[in-house]
Amino acid sequence: MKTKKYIRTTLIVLIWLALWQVLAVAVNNSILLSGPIDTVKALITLGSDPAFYISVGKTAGKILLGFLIGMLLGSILSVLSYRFSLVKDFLSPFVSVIKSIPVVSFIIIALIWAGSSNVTIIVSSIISFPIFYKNILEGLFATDPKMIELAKVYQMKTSKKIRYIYLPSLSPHIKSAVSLAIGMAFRGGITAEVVGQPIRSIGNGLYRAKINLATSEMLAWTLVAVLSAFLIEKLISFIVKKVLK
Amino acid sequence: MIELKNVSKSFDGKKVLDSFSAVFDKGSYLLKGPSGIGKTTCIRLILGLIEPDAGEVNIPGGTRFAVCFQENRLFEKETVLTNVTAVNENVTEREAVSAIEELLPSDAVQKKAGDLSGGMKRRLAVIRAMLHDSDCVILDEPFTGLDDEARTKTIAFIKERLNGRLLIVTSHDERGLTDLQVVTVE
Repeated sequence: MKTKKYIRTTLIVLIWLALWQVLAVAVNNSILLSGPIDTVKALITLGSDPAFYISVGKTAGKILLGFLIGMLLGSILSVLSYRFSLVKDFLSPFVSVIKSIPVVSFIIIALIWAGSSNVTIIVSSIISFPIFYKNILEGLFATDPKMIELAKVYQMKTSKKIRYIYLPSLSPHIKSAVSLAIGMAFRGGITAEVVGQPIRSIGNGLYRAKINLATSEMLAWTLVAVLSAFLIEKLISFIVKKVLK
Repeated sequence: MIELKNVSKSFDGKKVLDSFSAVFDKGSYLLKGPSGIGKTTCIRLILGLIEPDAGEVNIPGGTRFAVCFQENRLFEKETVLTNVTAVNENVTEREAVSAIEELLPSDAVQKKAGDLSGGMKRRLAVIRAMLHDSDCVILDEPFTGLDDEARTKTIAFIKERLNGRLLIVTSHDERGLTDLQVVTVE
């Protein structure tokens, strides 16, 4: 069954790649659209330079750090909001505003405040924070009040209440927040790098490819960004799954 | 001594308890009355989970309760053993297993609570309550879903594990409980 699913997925991906290649051949202009073969060639060329790995590592590391800061802040503040309605009411407009402000506005503010080297961390944490805050708060309010009563009567320790009552209720909310936030943090973080131009970064690579009209190189950087986001999401989801088990 | 004095309680404008009084001193009590009369409301008042609209609920300070709610309220994804030990820190694993095996098949110990049948879940909720270090044990309809044999075994288990604590049981069916002092809710 699992093998059948892999074969099916692989076939679908291959068909999309073939369509992409056909379209690139039809357009016949590598600046307008570069095909998957040229993109892989550009990726191999990029991969032969050690600086490429430093760029990928720095970008992924900064986005991951920003994501973790957003996750930590979101978790702490959602617990406080659950516990104290005043905190929840106080944060409500702030969270709504953060969610509706265009990412590029944050990028510009972050650039002015903290400079280009920190913009990725700040932007990815600002993007991750409301996702975790909202999801965890929802999970806390969805906790079965009957089980909370049980814990009260049995005078359960806080650690046991978290382990046996709150975490099972929060688990699906945390998993969905991780999956959503990591993708958004990568998109926002790399956009911030394209605008802020920190040296040795995926965003900087994309920008240089753009000004050189090197479409295959730009697509290669994009592919790297997508793969990095995918791998980090899988890694974090694995850790979260283990912790919540 | 637990005392309910002229207690009234309404939900959504509907009066469930009207100036009800009862005293639960040492011993075992059967809280009796037709369905919907307010037995569970009495229990929730004693446990301090709700406040009366009028009257007094007097509980000696420091009273520790163990309860089997009308719903099982188990940790469904955890094992039977964990369900018992998670709320009973003073109980050793051996004691817990021995108690579980008195009322459930021995292969149930490591099963997930969510995988048990309705009757087995009910018995697990009773085991968890009886093992809890407490001054008063409250069992709200503990025999729901049990056949006659399981009911008899569960009653024997409760009596054996009571150790002089105050017991308050609600049940529609008085079989096996005739030695309990009766308090009628009306």
